[in-house]
Amino acid sequence: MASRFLYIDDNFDSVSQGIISALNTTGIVSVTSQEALSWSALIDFLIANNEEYDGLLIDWKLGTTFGHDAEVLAQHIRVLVHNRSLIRDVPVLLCSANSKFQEEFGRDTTPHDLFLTTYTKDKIANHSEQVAVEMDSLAEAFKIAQGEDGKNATDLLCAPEDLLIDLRIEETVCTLIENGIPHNIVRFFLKEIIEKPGVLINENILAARLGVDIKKSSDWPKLKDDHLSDFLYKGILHDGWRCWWAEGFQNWWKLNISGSSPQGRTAKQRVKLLVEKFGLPYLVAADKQRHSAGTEFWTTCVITELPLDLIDGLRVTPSTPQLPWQDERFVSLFGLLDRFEELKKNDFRLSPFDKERWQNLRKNNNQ
Amino acid sequence: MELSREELIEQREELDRKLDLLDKDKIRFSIDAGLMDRLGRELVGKQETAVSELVKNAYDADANEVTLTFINSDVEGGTLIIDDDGHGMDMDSLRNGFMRISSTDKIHTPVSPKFNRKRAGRKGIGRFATHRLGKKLTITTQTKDAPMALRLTINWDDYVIDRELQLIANNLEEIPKTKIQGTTLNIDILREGWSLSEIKRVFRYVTELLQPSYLSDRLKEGSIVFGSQADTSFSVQCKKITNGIDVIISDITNSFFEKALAVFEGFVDELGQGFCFIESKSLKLNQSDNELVIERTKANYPEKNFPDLWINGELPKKYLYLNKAQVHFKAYYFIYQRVDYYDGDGIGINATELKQVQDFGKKEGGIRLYRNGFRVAPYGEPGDDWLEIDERYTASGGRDVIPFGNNNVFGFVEIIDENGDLFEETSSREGILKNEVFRDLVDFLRDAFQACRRRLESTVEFKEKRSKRQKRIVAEKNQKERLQQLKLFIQEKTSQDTTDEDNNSESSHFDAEELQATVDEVERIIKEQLDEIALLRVLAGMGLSIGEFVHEFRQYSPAFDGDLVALSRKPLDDATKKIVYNLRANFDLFKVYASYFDETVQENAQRKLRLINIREPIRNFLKIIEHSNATQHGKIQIEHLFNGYDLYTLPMHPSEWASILINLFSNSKKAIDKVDVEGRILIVAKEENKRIVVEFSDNGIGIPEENKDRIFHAFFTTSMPANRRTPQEKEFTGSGLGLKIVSDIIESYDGEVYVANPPQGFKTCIRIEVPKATDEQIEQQYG
Repeated sequence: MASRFLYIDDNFDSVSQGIISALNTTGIVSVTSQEALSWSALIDFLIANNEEYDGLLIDWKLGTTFGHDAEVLAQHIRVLVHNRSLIRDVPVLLCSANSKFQEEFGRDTTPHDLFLTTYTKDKIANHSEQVAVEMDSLAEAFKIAQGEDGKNATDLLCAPEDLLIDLRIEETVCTLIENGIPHNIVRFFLKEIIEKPGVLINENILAARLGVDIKKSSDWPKLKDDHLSDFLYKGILHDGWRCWWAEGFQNWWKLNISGSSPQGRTAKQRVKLLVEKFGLPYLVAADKQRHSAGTEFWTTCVITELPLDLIDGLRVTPSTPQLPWQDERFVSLFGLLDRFEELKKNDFRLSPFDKERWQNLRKNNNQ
Repeated sequence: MELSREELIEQREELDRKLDLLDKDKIRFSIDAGLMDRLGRELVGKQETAVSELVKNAYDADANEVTLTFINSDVEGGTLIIDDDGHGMDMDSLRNGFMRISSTDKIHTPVSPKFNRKRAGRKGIGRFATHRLGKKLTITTQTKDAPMALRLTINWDDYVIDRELQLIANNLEEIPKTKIQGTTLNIDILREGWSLSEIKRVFRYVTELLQPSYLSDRLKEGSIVFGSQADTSFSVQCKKITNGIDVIISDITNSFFEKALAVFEGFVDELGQGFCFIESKSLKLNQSDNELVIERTKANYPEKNFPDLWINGELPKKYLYLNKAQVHFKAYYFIYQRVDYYDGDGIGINATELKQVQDFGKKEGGIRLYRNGFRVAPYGEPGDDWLEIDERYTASGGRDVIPFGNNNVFGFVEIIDENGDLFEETSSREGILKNEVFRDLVDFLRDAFQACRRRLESTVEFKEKRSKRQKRIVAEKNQKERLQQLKLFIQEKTSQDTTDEDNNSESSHFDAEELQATVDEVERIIKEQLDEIALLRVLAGMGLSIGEFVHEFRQYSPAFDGDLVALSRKPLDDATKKIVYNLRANFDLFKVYASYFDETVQENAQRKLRLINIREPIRNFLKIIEHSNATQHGKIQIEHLFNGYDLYTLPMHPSEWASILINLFSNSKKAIDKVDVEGRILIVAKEENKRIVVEFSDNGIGIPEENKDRIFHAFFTTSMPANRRTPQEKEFTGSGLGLKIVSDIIESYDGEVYVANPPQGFKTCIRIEVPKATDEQIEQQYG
């Protein structure tokens, strides 16, 4: 059954209806609108109908007639869950018509913990399928996190047996399970394991490690679906966010391609091996970016998202502290030279260790 | 017994036959009269060459003055009289010189008897020149010592084919002298009509035959004095008489050369080494500091393109063949439309004068060649680019800092060739045979002019910045000063009225007039500014409404999208599906356009200045424009090129760039609409001399020269003025404020915007320069 979401707005109109229609016609989620007329009426409604919805989607501009901001409502829901007024914890998502809202919302980080994720209405309307999949996946994750039976870290991670999972991940997950707050569990998975490469890697990084240029390779989907699914992540939230086990990739390579790690090989060498092994002639090796030297790609640039050899990368620091199992992130010189501003937009700063190197490189490339 | 003419001819023919019988094993040439006609037509190509040859003859005859008179010459059949006061001809020299074809007189005596002039005409072209010009020639000539003058009449029409040349007799008679000495050529029944402008052209050509005096400073010191305009002993007058009315044709003045922005001078020494000097008071360059050694470089003469020049893998740097040619040149260089460049001590040129020079440059610019003091055609004539100056300039595609085409230079090259063995003129007297010497000459001059150009470029760039700043300050000062003036007038006037009331009413009347003029001027300025403010108010209001609209639109757009998506997922029949698909596509376009304003409006809300990485606004703009109607349907192709990194402007408002780019785009679109071409736009961003430069080029209709400055003024528009039939949206686009707004924004940051030379394949290039952020600011930006 499709996950049920309540769309909460104090000024419900045909505009909201448009977004709801888009989501509903995907058949993945079922969204109904709930007008926020007064604080107590809304809270009463949420408590009384707790069984009738699997998630909430709140409009950020809430407050003009309602009298309370979206953040206040979200915080109050945390309180209601904590004091068991709300028996079922559900994902609370934020949306806005303002295209810059994520930037503005991003400035004060304190309310970030309250929402699992944020969407612009444009994104909802134009990528309704993907948004619906994510919403559904979040709602499902909450159900799993809420469930009582046989729930442990291993179940949530669903890691292949031959993988050695960082103990600190398991410990953290165990603590979160013990505390029993589904919101915290799901949020940890989403923000610290899935969205940040390390133990899991996304499609771009996977392609970089394979040395493949996704855009130029018409055989990429075939390779991905037919040969790389062994180490696809199948744990909590996997329906909404597709990623692969980093260590699983290493093992797979060893087993299927070559005894020695791909890391010491150029993209061309890696792709040559892949083509030979799987008979996929339309795999094309990725090229290095301008001002780069190496093609022993291992990660992607945080600005251009193109494959990057670590010798060419400049280290960046994320806005939230990096956890032990998360990979260090890098930016390419071309990315910095071409659109430095985007580094900050993507929530990174240049690492102090590489500042001097950047200055030197910049000067050399400007002469 | 006297034999008649016919009997004598018969006898001569008889003698010839007997001679032929005697020398049975010999045979001789005979000459058909038609040869004269052929030589006349083929040896002298152009009318002006013909006239100039005749003037040269006068010069060779030690004349002080030559007068050209064109009588009733508007249509063919008129008369040209060439009258000189030279030494004239006696019977001998007439018979053995003028009448003897291919006479060797000038070869035997290469220097004129009285003034020792190096003879200019040499191959006996003169008589054929008269043939080229008219059907009948009457020569009246007299020497100082002769008691009578000689008059020779030649009817060129007698020289027809199938007649023996020797048998055609021309009338010669003795008549009373018409003057002390000299020769008068009456050329009647002119073969072509000569209009006033043609006469002017020929006259200019003839006067330019003589090397300008200011050239040969270095060589005057030498042993031979060559003909030059400074040589006052020789001058040319010209007049046109039509139905008895005289028009004196006067020479154009060359005095403006003194006002040139820069003067180049150069020579080749006895070792074949080239040198060149640049002097410019305006640009503060003096000769001694700006001496350039001119050499061939491997970059300019790569072996694969110039194999015959290289010797054993080495490129000769010197112009060895010129070691004896005593090459010397002088050229006057102008940049048009930039009066502000010319501000050296006592230099100054005003806009009108500069415009005149520009017009003159279009027709007369270029580098002329003078051999032994006389002009050699066609070098430096309009359309002749013998030093490839225009070719290089065009190929540079407007990337040059300074304009450097033939119309920017007035140059004079002097070559000395005493024995005539270095440079051989072609027999038509139009050009020099392309031998090694000439090749070295062309190479040297081309290299020298390009070296001068490069040296100037660096200087002008510096000057450019300084002068712009000063101009702005002056403009502001002027308005303030005018008001100050007005205040003083009023003060003076009021104090005068009270102190000496009935004294000197005349002067106070004069003051009143001036006062009125000042008030009128101030009124005009105020009115102009009020008009501008009124329109700006309208536009500002419109801007606010657009902001409001865009904000509202933003709220609705996801709903449109959402419903459209939802609709498309419903089971629909094919026709409805198509409609929904169309609806979505159109709405996508609409949204993209609106989102551009949305960003501008949202940025505007912040009103904060920041360093702008020029890539950012251009990329945003491209993103929008790619979806615009014009580019969507392939009507306009947009390319862009970012040259280099760190392209940060000083702190500006991001929305300002949005409005600059959209304004430029809308102008380009209009310009492209006016011509039937596949539209192309090129946006180039780069850094030049600590400035961020954006060049916006299109291949539309182009901007006529005279509008290039005006387009930045308020209300100047090439669009039709708005009227009742103008569609509403056009009323906005044709307001003539677009570029004014662009230039106001740019100038407020001490930048500049102007019409530059477009790159190859484009018609218009608007170039914007704004100061680059300082290094410290950029460092800060990078944190």
